[in-house]
Amino acid sequence: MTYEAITEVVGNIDLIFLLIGAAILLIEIVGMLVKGTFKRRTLFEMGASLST
Amino acid sequence: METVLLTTGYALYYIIAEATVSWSIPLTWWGLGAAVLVADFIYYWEHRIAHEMRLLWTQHAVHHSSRDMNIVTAVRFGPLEGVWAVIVHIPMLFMGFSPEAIIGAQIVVLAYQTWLHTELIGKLGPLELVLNTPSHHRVHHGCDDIYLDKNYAGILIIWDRMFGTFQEEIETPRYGLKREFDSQNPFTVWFSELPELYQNLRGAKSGYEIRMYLFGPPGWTPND
Ligand SMILES: [Zn+2]
Repeated sequence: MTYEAITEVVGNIDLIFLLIGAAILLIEIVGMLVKGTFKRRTLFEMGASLST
Repeated sequence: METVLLTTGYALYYIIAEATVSWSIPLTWWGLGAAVLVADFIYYWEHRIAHEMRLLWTQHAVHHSSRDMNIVTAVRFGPLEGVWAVIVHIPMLFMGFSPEAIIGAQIVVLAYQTWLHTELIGKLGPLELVLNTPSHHRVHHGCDDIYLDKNYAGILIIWDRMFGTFQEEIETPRYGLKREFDSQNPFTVWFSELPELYQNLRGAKSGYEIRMYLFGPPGWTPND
């Protein structure tokens, strides 16, 4: 396995989990909006997490 | 920040490997698989020690300071958390893993954990026996007494089962830090553990107390 091959394999694994995460996040946000639990606080907590 | 640390880590591993290690495990599928397995074992201890040593906890507490449990929590890290990660994987070089394999394995172990930060997914049957799952990781983020300092695993939950830190999810945890902390101010979130540590260090009466405040468990007091 070359350096390029390992970069590609790891990159693909990373991408798969990123996409799974993005899909879950989308469902979470839609779910919270439907239930009315997506508050200002939720958004700010997400902002604080993303700031790190 | 994580990218900078990984790049620095790669450079450091490369220098150490060039200077000291004369052989290496080949970069094959099994070589990469073995690297992920070893990195996952190391991650268990890296994570456990980050909970048990105050200085490291000042960084890792950032990841635990959210009262919410959703996917975004997965990207919440202390500013210098990656430094400990780089250091703790150095022994892999002396086992013969190449810098590429070590960095690649660390990325796999971290990437796997993204999907664990959710309340959306319930229990996953027999997978719960072997793999770290959202249910197991919700326990890790719980601040209820039965959930504190449990389920440190990255990919394989077997490490917790082996080393006595496993806890099943019984009821929905209360997420976040044990102490009352509920700030969404980024600056407060990044440095929340530092003011108290500073106060403790200023009030320390001996070298022993300073060492214990820095390297002892979080919450240690001279009366312990
Ligand atoms: Zn933790």
